[in-house]
Amino acid sequence: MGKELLVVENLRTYIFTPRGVIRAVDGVSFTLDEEETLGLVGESGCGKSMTALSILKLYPKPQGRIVEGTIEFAGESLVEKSEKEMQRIRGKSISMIFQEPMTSLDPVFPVGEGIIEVLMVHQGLSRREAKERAIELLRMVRIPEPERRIHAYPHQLSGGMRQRVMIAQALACRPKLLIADEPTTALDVTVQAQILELIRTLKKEMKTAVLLITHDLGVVAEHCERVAVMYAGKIVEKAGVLSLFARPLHPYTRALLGALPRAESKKQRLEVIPGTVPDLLSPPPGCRFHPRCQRRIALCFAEEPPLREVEKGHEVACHLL
Amino acid sequence: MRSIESIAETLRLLCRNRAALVGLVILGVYVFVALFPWLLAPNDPLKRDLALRYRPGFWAGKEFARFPLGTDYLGRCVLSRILWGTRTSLLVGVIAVSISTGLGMFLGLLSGYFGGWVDMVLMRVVDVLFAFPSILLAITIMAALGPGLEKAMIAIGIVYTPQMARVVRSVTLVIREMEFIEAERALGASHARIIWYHILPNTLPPVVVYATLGVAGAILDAAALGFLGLGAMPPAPEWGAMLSGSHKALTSGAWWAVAFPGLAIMTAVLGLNLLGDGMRDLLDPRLRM
Repeated sequence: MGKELLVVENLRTYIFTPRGVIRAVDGVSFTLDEEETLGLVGESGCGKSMTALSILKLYPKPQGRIVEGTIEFAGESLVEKSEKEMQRIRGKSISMIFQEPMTSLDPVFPVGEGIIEVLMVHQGLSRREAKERAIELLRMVRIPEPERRIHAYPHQLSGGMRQRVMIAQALACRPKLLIADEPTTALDVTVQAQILELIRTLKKEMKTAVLLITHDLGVVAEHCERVAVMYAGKIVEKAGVLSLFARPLHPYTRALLGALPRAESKKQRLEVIPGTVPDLLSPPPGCRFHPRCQRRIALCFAEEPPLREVEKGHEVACHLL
Repeated sequence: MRSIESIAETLRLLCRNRAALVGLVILGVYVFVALFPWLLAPNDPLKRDLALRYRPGFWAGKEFARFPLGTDYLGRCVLSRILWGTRTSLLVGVIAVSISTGLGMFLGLLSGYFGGWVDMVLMRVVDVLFAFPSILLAITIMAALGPGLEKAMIAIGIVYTPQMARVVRSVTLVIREMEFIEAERALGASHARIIWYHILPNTLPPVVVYATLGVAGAILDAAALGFLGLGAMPPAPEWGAMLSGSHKALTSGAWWAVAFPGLAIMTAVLGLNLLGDGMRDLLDPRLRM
């Protein structure tokens, strides 16, 4: 494994609303090595996306704020960077692709324009050079007839094609880190597999680290080296992918795995996790999972379990262990 | 090369939209008249002859063909004055709307994009302007600036600014929240770049439509100011001023001195409205497959 590229320490991003403070990210720590893929898993509304947006400092402003913690990227502290400095990092050293390829491209410009723009802004290429490079990039993401497609408008391309354009745009400047926020959720299953395969191939070619945000554990198993499971703004379990699937320790991780369909299972019905993700305006005291946990003990109501290393490289936040 | 293709495409779509086509033809005729009035006008629009006051036009008989649409209270040729007045009226409409579009887009984009106190302050100013009836506001501004056609253009431009600012602001609010703006941010685009390259072009379809309709409104307002004697200085031919000068003619039975300038205004406004409506459909990029 390479050096540490991204170190997030005790990150707290709160959103201040008239109804109260939403603790969207509440003390999250993780590291990401160069060229590594880390999966960030959890249900909707558990703070995965907000964690990703915090790294780029794109959380909603002025309501949102990083109230505590540090984000260190390639040895530099991002929390202290000004908006201007962040603009030079975004799209160049750290890129992000979004969930909705349908709405993530500007509808009034041909898709090539976006890529050309990134190259001109960050790499100072001339229009002509940028256009040539954009065609190359479209070829790289396996878009047929890139010379012609560069002039196509977003609505003329399918969802999968648009996501390929987004990937080309994100990788145009060979970033060191690519944040993929549920990149395949809005796509068909077959296209999903193609897009994920594409991300994997390009990541190897470009030696990019990937932070893959998803709620699909199948995707994690196939594409990630390490996994962090989030619940209600906190990381509850962190482990290598093999270790996590072989020996899930946190009751929430177990429940998530129990809710997956399995080929060898004879059971007719999938298990569900009772209840819903708690309201982050007023999270439950103690362990945040206790209202839905089937193995809770008295301590879970009162005290928040810290994240502890149970075996090498496998950390869990649970009183039972 | 692509821009030629896209212009050809626009024209093709325009031809399929009947209403817009009619609007375009009407407007084309007006523009032609505005550019070359001397080719069409049968008489000198300024030449007066009190002996020929309130003469009817061609409908009264062959001997009246010299003034096809009759003469006004000073014996001037109504048709020639309408034709020469086209240039003034279109110019007033276009310039006034350019002023209001420029100012309105500036205010609307800033207000919608940045929100917060910027939005608060700008929109309260706009609210104050909104609180005046438009013609009263125009008269007030004219009172400060003094009479004259250029000043009427400025006054009407200011009067239309709040509406344009509101339209642009509301569109900006919608576009600002779209995913591609967030995607642009994630790619490192600055505020200026996002506003100028991504939000502004996306606000254009409604703005173009609104501006086209605004030209019609501005022509009407200019006519109203002219009617009140605040627009074009006599004896310059201008549609509103023609109405104002001849309104007494109605009681003396010389309807033509009022009806034809009114008809000219009505047709121009109709043409612009048809075109504006057509543009709304035309500027939707999703229709261009």
